[in-house]
Amino acid sequence: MAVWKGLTTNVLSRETAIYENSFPVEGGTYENAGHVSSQIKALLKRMKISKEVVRRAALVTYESEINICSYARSGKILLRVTPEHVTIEAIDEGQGIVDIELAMQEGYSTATDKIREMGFGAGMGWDFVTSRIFPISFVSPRRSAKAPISRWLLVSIKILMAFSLI
Amino acid sequence: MTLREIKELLDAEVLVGHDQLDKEIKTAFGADLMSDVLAFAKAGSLLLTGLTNPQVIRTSDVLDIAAIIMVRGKRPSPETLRLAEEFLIPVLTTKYILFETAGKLYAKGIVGCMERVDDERAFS
Ligand SMILES: Nc1ncnc2c1ncn2[C@@H]1O[C@H](COP(=O)(O)OP(=O)(O)OP(=O)(O)O)[C@@H](O)[C@H]1O
Ligand SMILES: [Mg+2]
Repeated sequence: MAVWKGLTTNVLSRETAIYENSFPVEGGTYENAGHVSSQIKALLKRMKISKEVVRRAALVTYESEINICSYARSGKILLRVTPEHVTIEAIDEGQGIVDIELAMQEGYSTATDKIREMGFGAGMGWDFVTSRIFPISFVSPRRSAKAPISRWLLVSIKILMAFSLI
Repeated sequence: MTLREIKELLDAEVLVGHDQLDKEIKTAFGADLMSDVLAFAKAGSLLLTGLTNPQVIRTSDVLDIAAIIMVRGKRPSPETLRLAEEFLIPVLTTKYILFETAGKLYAKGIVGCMERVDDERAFS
């Protein structure tokens, strides 16, 4: 597991969640691509979380969601809000990413024509998420014992934030 | 510039957001690639694009894009329009090509939401 800066899941899971939910994402289709991001964005807005954090959380959720729609069979986005952090975790079942370092590079993409037709597949997503927008984030690939043939991919993005709940 | 002035300037047709034409616009971003829009466009900017699929609206919602100008006379699908109405994002269509659309706006004082992609200040 590559940890870019600081935070680990351990620290985050010790914080008490004030909101926690899992949103399923259908892979291999753009039928509903983006609706989970819209939902999560609206939810965070209603919680009166600062605009900038809502924007960043929505961006990373959207990038993860589009990637699931593009490259995976199915997946889910987990949203966890504690008094100190908003945590977005994208987990999917599919081909997985063999070389994370490579996938993170700007311009690297295995997008099909169908994906490009939708306006995606420039290989910029993970690069801007990790290098420019999110100060605290990590990504980790994992193999599931239950799925010995297909690889499981676990991508977690943690966004550090400070907001008051009033 | 207000969206109303932009509509006049571009001889554009308003498809969604007739009630939001007083919106003030200062910056814009133009691209036919949503990957680029996601990476570079800033909140409150005007989006100029030739893409018309529903992902344009989703992407704009995520980024808090102020309004969308579809260039080259492109018209969105009913599903795209429905989403724009749901998210209250104005959509206009103009017959001008992307280059002309951008040029006309620039001449009136609208600037890019960043100048260069290597401008680190743009990402702070
Ligand atoms: N959930 C996933 N499952 C399998 N492979 C993935 C997944 N997400 C990304 N990848 C791989 O990593 C590459 C880079 O992803 P990234 O999001 O940076 O770019 P992209 O999706 O190809 O294009 P863009 O994000 O600019 O529209 C993808 O082309 C794909 O090969
Ligand atoms: Mg991507």
